[in-house]
Amino acid sequence: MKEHLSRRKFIKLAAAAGGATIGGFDLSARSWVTQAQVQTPSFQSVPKLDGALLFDEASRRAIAVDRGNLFHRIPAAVLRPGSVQDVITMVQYANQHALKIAIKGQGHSVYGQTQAEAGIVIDSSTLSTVYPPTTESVDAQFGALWADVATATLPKGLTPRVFPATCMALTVGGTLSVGGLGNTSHLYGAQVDNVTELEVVTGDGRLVTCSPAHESELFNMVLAGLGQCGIIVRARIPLIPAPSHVLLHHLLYTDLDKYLGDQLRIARDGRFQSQRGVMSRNQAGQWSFTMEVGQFFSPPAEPNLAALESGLQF
Amino acid sequence: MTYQEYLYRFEARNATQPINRPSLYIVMWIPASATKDYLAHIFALSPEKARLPQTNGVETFSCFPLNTRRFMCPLFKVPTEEQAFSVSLFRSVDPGYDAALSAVLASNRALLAKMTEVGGKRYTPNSMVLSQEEWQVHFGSDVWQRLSKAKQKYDPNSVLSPEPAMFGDHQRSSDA
Repeated sequence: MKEHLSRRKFIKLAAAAGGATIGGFDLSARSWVTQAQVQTPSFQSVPKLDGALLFDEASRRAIAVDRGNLFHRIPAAVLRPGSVQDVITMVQYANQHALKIAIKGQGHSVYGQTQAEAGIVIDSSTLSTVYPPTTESVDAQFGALWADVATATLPKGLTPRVFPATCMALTVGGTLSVGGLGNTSHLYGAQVDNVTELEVVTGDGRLVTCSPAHESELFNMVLAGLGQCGIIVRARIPLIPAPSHVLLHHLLYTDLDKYLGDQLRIARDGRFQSQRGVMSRNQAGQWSFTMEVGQFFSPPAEPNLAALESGLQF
Repeated sequence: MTYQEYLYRFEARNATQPINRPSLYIVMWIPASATKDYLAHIFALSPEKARLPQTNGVETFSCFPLNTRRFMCPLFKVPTEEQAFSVSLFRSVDPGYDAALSAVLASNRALLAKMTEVGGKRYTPNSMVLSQEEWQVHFGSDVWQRLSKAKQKYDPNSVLSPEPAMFGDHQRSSDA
């Protein structure tokens, strides 16, 4: 890591950052953007960090890619934080030098939300610790994957109420910043409804612990808050006993009214712990509708599917 | 299957998904009473226009119910009806195919406008790029004022998350 960078060298980097921005598609203006907005950040006095601040073009280009492949805004630098203090230091530095900061986890967003043109992108993957769970909850850093949370809690017979619906390789900080829907959300709401405490680095560079009882407005404005007020660096996720098994059943419908009616009915009465649904069109152009329902259980208990499916019209 | 197998049951499929395609995902919550009519707009799209993910020629999108009262966070907006359907369209086009990209953009815009008309709400990470006015409509005036006040208080210099540019402080270059 370079602690000092000459003004001249910096300007060169900023120019490279701006000039390298590939014409991204501006979805709000519905036009191709050819002229990058070049800011003039200043890295001449980068503070001491535990991690690394990268300026090389390969790192800056690599971080400007997400699942959307629509925008590629190249930052001036990439921070791979070695500590939460690095995040605080960089946010304070950005305030002093009029820089923008974005956070990138696994990059599953599609509209460039984790990018900061000519700014700094913090790669959360270097802060991914999941702390040993208690019987009540588990604490995870923002770069931890939900798969890491599962690895820490399942051997103890514990689980969060809501895991991501179809991908375990999403970060805790990422889904809590947008909402996080799972296959148990009909019972428990979104992942943001299942958090009891957060540690947040605010936009003005303060580390604040917040919860529904303490600094509650920050807590409320950070959950599903799209990173506008603060960076979630640690989350406390409540745990419940984990089932050992799941009986999954796929119920096929060709009648849309019956499908929608049954979906609403079982969501209302909550008879299945897991519930989702997929609409499919075959090559003949015919639509069919598949309800996937799951019953959680732990042997020797066995679910009675016939009873659970009584009254359904599949 | 074990609970562990259940949690990871989509990972093998995820590993085979191409990651280089321009992708214009939209995810919406449609009030239950409006869902059947709303879905007709999606069913009416030909495969060429829908550009949904396909497996062996079968196109798919997910559609399952939400009990809206379960969602308590002020920034996670849901319809006012007690039940809604989550409708997720994971549309994508071939790289470099600008005409298709523009067509899907227009189609997404139309579907999102219809969503708003029927009292639906968007899942914010997958809802296209919004103007400040669209963000205000999405959150409603009370929540918007609350969020604006919080932004001013906690991020007074607008350092964090320049995208999405919901507060209009990020000058976006455009030759529109």
